[in-house]
Amino acid sequence: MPSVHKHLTPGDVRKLKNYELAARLMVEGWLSGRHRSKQRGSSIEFHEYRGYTPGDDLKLIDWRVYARSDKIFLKTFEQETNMEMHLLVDSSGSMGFPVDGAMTKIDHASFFAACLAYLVVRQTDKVSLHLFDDRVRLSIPPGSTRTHLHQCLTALENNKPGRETSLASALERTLPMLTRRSTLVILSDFYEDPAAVFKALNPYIHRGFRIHLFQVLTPTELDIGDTGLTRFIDQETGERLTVHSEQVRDGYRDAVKQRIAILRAMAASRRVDWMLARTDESYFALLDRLAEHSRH
Amino acid sequence: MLTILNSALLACTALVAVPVVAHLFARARPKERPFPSLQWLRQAERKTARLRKPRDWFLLALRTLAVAALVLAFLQPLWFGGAQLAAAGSRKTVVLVFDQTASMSFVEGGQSRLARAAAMANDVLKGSGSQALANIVWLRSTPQTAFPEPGVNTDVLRDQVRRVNATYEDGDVSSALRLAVEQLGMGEGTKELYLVSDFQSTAWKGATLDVPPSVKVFKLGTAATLAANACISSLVVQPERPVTGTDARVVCRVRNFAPAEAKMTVQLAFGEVRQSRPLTLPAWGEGVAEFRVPCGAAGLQSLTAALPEDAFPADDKRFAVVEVRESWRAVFGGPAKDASLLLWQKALGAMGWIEPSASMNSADVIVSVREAPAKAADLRHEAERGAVVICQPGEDWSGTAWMALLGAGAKEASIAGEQRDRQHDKPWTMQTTQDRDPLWQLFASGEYGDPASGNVWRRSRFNVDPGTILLRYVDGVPAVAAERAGKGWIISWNVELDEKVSDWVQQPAFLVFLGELLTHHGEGASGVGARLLGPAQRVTWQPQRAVNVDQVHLQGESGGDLPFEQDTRQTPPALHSVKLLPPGHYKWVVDGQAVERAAVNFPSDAESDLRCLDPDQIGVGETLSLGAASALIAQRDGFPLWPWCVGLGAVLLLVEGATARLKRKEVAA
Repeated sequence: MPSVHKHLTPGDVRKLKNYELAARLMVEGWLSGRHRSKQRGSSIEFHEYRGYTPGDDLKLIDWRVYARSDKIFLKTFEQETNMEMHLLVDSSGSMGFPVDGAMTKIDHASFFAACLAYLVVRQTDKVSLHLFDDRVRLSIPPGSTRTHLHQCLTALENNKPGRETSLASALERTLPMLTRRSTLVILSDFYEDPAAVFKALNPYIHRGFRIHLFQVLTPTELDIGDTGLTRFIDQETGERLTVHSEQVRDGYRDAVKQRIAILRAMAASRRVDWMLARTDESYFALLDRLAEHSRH
Repeated sequence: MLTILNSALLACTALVAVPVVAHLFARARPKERPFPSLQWLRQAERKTARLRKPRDWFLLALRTLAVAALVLAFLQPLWFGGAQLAAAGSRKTVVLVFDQTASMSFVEGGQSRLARAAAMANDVLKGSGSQALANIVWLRSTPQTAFPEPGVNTDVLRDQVRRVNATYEDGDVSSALRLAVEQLGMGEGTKELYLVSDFQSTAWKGATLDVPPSVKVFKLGTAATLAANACISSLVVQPERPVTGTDARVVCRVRNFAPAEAKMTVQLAFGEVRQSRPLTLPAWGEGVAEFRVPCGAAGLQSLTAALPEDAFPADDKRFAVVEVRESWRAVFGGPAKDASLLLWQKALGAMGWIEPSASMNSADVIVSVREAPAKAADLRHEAERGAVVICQPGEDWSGTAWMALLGAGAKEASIAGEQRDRQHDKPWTMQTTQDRDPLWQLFASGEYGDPASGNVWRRSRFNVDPGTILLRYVDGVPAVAAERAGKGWIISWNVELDEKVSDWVQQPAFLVFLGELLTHHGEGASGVGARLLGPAQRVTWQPQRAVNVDQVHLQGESGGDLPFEQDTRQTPPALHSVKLLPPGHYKWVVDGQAVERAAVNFPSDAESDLRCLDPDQIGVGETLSLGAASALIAQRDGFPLWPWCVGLGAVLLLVEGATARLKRKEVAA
């Protein structure tokens, strides 16, 4: 990496190396597994030798090296694909809600988006980035170079919470730009009508996009806690609502569960992956869970 | 129509705003907290608001209504129905019979019966309305009205009620009610009679309560407890006007109006003399303390008997003025040259404390020797007045004359004289009877001789009972007998003093016996003194000659001058105290000398017996047990809503508590 970015530090990169196989599997699972017949690239380049691990494909053993050194090495290749991943990061006001200290939901989403972008670029696939609130504020077209990655990371770093959320509107706007069937990753808190969201997603689904929804929520959003009489101020609209936490806490939890359940049900019915991205959990865990989802 | 009695608390209605303000204030300072989106909060709030908000408002309404109900209860609202409204606007006449008798000064529970009565009367007058005609009949020994006829100026009546004091008089209930009914007759509209009294049983039991049926009668009792009391009910001096140098007997009667035996000491003060007697009084009984006090200097002496002060001190003292005289006055009647009569004059004249007098009316001793039978009735009258009448009848006295003198059954009586020859016949001799009679106490030692010694050669024989025989002849014929007649005595005398037919007067014991006879029977003129006044009487002095009123002072025991006035209708003008004075000693002073004294006493036992009737036992009217006019008016004129307000407030608070509890349980779940 030529420079240190806020959302992808050298430490993160080191951790992502540990996730390499997992990430690779994940990406391959995504890309290769899913698009094996039609989407595979035309050229195969040597990547590296590595030691044999039980379970490895025996076809990859370099028998010549074995003959010379009496050691078993696998000859691995970088598979060049033409896969694309589109990252849609919700940058509305609600995403500016603080998670821990100065960190916000948008930071949490950006960390995860940066990891994904890094992993995608690292395996020479293309990644695009779209920042939206009630409109698309920034679109970076797909690219697979490190410069492109740098551009994406910088965009994430400069991103600020905006106005109200309108994912449906953003999806409608980005649809003409995303002509190839690819992977769509949406990071949002989904403070809008699920029906409208899925209505906007329908064209993508019909065109064969693999869609992953990550609902970014803080623990406070999942449970407002016992705050007593509180005047809540909407970060998107500035509206105010004075309620006693005792009075609404249960109802609020129910409303959140209901919203999550609706999203999950609607996603499942359309073969869209949905995952809850709790901000009190590491975004690396999301990669694991993403891998889990991809295996099924 | 709803009206409020306690309008002074009207400002308290602002308290109704307290729950509302508290409600608003509690919601006014929430913590502010940024939140990603209110979308789900609104959804939750909409959901819970359906349950919570109505309950919040319900709680607020409950609290506000509860406070309103309690505030309203203090305001004492009255509900007037149509009939009551119509009656409220009509003219009416209100007359109060206000008990001002002595028993009303009794203090119960820190407040006198009179003070309670004044508060009740004030409330009644206050609540009678501006259109009402009102008057007060003061219940005293002579009832009087505040106004000549009922008037609308109840403020004046209320002012009089505020300043009223208990008198030391008893009360004439029947007269007061008659007067009240007369007053109501002068009024118009509906007639209401309020009896404000302690309903002392001695005054109200048996009183004539003749009230027309058209008059509504309300009874307001002021007595709270069964009051125990002891009093000195009478103070009697014997003789009424003792002579200086003699002893006077003072009889003090004490009554116990309590259900328990009482032990106490009666203190007596007579001039400089102080004596006391312990006394045990049975429950609801009486006792007598007897004193014998020496009469010193002649003049008017103050006599005071006192009990230890109790809860009703007004009747614990009794006062009298005793006139101690220099001498007795004797009147002699009979034939001018009668030897016996002359010896009587000599004998009584030999006693330094008896002086002859011409007036029978003021005589202490009347000696009648062989007077005409027609004088018998006069002699009897004087005896009844208090004089000691010594009567030696003549042979011409018939049974009728004896009846007139002795007052009973002597119609067939006759007198027959009998005489013995002094030279040849043996005389009749006498002997004493009734040896235990104090009359003979002086002679018991023999120092003063035998009062019965002496010889008599002439006497009378009569077949009539002359009373208690003091001396008799040996053959049983009465010689000297005494019979009580009213306040005095009639002494039938059957011993000749004429030295020709008797040598009794020559006996050394004769004069001593005569003195003892007079002093012992002279006590018959006992009494409480002419200067003893009741509490309803003003202290009066009728001087013998006109005096300069500037030099006259009326003083009580404390010595301060009291106001008096001159009654010029009499000649010379009489002097009266301006007011009725409380019990005690009073004196008229001229040039520093007390020229006349008077004693004012608590009224009869009736006022000392503090037992009261339950107002329901009074035959007429409706008893009002509440102490405030607002309540009285409420009972009479309107329906009091305050108990309902209190009840409603309590129910609202209970519902509020249950609702709040339910709400807390839901939140906890």
